[in-house]
Amino acid sequence: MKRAICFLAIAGLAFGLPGVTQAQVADGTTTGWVTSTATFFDYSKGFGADLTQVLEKYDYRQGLGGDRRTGFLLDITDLRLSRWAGGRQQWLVERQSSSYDNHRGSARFDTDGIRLSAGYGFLRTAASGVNFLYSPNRVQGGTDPGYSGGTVGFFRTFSDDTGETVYRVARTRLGVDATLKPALLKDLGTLTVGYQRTSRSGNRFSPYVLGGGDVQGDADARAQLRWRAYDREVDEAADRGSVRLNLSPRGILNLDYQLSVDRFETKTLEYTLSNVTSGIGFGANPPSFSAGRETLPLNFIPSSTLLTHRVGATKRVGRTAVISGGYAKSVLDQDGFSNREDAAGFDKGRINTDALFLAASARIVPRFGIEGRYGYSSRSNDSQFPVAGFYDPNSNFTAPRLDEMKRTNLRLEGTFYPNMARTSVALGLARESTDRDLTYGIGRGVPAQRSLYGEESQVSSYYLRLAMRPLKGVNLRLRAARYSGDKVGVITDAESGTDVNLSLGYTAPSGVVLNGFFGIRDRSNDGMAFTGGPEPATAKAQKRDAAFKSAGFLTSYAPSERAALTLNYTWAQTDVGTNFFTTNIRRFDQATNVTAIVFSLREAQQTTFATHTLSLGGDVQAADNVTLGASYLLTAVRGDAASGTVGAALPSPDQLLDNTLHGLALSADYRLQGSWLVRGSYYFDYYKDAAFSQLTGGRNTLGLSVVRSF
Amino acid sequence: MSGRIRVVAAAGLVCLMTAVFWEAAESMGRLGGEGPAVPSMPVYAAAASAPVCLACHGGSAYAGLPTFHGDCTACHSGSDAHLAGPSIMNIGKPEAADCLACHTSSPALMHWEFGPHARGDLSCGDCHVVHGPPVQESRSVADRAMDPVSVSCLGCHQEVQAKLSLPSRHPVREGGLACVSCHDPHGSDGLTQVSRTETCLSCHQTHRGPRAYEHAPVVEDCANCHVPHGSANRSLLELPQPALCLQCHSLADNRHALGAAAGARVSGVALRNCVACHSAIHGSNVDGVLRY
Repeated sequence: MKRAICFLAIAGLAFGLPGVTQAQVADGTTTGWVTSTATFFDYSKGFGADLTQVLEKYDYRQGLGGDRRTGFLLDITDLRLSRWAGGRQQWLVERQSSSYDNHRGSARFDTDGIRLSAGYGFLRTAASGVNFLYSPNRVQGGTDPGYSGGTVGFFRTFSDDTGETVYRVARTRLGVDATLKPALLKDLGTLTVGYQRTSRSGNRFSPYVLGGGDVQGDADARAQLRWRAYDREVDEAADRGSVRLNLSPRGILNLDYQLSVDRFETKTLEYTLSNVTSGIGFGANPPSFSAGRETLPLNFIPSSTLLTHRVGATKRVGRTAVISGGYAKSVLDQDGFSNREDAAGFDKGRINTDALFLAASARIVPRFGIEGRYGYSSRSNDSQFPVAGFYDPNSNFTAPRLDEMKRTNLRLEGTFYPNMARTSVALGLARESTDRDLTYGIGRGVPAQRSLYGEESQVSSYYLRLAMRPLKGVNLRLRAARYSGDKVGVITDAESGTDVNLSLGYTAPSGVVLNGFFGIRDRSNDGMAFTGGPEPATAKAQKRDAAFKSAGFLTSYAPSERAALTLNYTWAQTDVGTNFFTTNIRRFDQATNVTAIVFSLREAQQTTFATHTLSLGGDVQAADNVTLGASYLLTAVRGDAASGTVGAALPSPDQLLDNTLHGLALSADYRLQGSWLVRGSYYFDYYKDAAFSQLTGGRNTLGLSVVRSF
Repeated sequence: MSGRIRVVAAAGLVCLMTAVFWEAAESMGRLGGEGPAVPSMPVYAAAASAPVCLACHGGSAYAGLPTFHGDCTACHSGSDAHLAGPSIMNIGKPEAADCLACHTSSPALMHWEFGPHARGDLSCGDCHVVHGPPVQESRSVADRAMDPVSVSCLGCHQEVQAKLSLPSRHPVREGGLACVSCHDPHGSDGLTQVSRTETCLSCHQTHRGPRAYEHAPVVEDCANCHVPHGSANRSLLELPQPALCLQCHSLADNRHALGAAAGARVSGVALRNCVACHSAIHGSNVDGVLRY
């Protein structure tokens, strides 16, 4: 139910329209506005009209006639209409749109006894199109002519069979909810029934590698035909029905139950090696698949059904104590199986998850409170296993299988409320433990000593949380935590770590707001190692040191009710160092002969990059009927993806992080007599990439709107 | 140490539960004894205290707004002192507990006390405009496409606001989704974190499986590789490839161009994009090394 509610919130909550304020209205009146906009846009530079522009990634647009490079958008209609009755907003209809490819809307009807809600959203994005721009043939250094033949010869040539399509995916969401309120249920609680459908359509750029024996000819010729890509259709939908019953009998306690069924279905063609290679010119070396190889599925996506039950209860005792608990269980069943699974007799794919929590807090004395929370969750892979000839630790097995994972969280906290400066000081202890049941390969597979994935993680933390308002208008917040890992199971676990988050804000009587913050998240883990041979086995420790720092300030000033100014800046720095290892053979080769593998520490690797975000803006009511607005956004990324040998080997677009995004927005509102308003707007967006200069490009957008308010 | 901590923690939790029940028993007789009076039913703008208050505040935004919050003294304590000497310093502002006194049947508020906003000492009025629309409307020309709830969130969460402008991000600025699509601002009940991936998979169903061949760190926690708000790296990755993958994986000389042709050198072609070959990185129903 949360998803449905959230969706309706996205689609439906008060779409703001600057310049048109919420009127104070009386019962029986209808208020709102309708806006109709004509827009012109034009892209410059970039890869041209045939390929994706970076600026299209999250803001894909097609003008009338489908033109993406230069286009007109006419009659883009936004509206917000509502009727007030009985002391409430009785009904509301909203729509907001940026283009034909990005719009959403909602409707709501509300009485004392019932609430009916419906909403939709449509968004087309082109993330896969940008990924395509980074495909091997489009990046200098994306292929390596120096290689020929053998198992790595395919690095020499990449065959793009996709026809250079513009890749994009459209997501459509529809949702309806009906809620019976306490007035209809004898003040016992609420009952909500909902349905939501999410569908996606479009296409993605999908690379793959043929096997060495899939193509005829000599080794060198075969190798050059192996690395390829195809244009993959996206056609999938998820339907979700839900019921939520929340009871509060006589206000004694809250009881909550939710049931949801979520069915996901993909209608995409089951791509196989033969159908993606059919009709493609392989020249003198056509595909020659061994028995069964031609039907090998590519990126198969299973249809599935997720059934979830949730129950919860909360009891509040006055204003001083509360106890809460809940349990959830979900079962994910696989409904569609690949032809490989069918052939092997694999017919049960199932993931079971359980979660439970219990929490309580109480203000024992007026100046001191305590709180505790215990949480438990488990994920169990109850799929058919082992499956002879398909998924069997004695033969075809590589990575360790996560059979079951159990995680517990515990937190205890005491809070002191001194009688000064609205201060609260909390000291707490938290602990998270994860137990993993893993199955490792016996024959061909990665054994435990060659894996940086362990069966146990146990991390404790001690923290201090301070909130204080030492002076009128001053707000100070601090959180500091120290982490200590007794056992580490994944490399991102904190064997040791520190968090510090500090923010200080000041709101002056004049309306000036000043806020600053600083944060650091530091994690180190050198508790994991690869162990190989020759005997005596030597452990090669992996070491990860990660530091994420950020700082920034925010200022805003409203010199009068007719003007407002804001200025924000945020800096964030990422520094992560790890060791880079190579091996003489693959880690899953010859698992029964652990002395055959040698791990070599090639070098210490460092990834370092920083981001800077600056935004400033303001609006002013220049005259009684004129409002002007402006904003500027700058986002800059600078850094190195890798150092040393790896960094030197990477092509520039992959090694350097050096891009800047500028966004300028200007608007002018002119209020005509009566309830009409005319708005002109101009947007200029410019993306500059110094590491991959062909991505550099800009976009101009002009808009003219007419607003009718009621 | 771990065993001792478990014992201490369990004992602490038991003590806490006992304290809560003790508190419950003790306070049965003093409900309503603290804070403002709790109205027995929703009241409208014509409530008794409103005319008195509006005699001074009538020219402001409080007048005539249809609302359930029209009885001023139902939420504001200290009215006697305020009437005797009007000052912003002697009129009580409602805390979250005051709001919860009426909003008892809201499922969304069941776990408010255990959420990060409550624990951060925030009250309802820090986000909600009680006397007007539930969330403030955006004024910035740059934020027009964003839903107003997210605008409100980002007013405090400045670091997140910056991340939502990075080259790879969730399209919150474009209005494609909102903060509340993933986060529950009223306090998560903790049940959405079964595997920490459930929230992500509620939209990214393609990756939920089941997969015969799983990538274990993927099914355990999406955040092992991805940062959800925004990243300088493609696909919301915390680190760029190959650095991200090489944290856990070694490279085999005989498969990744180290010991084969071209002088056994490291090839940028192999390093620059691991998923160009291992495209089924989130799991496969066919292939153990996640190529198909």
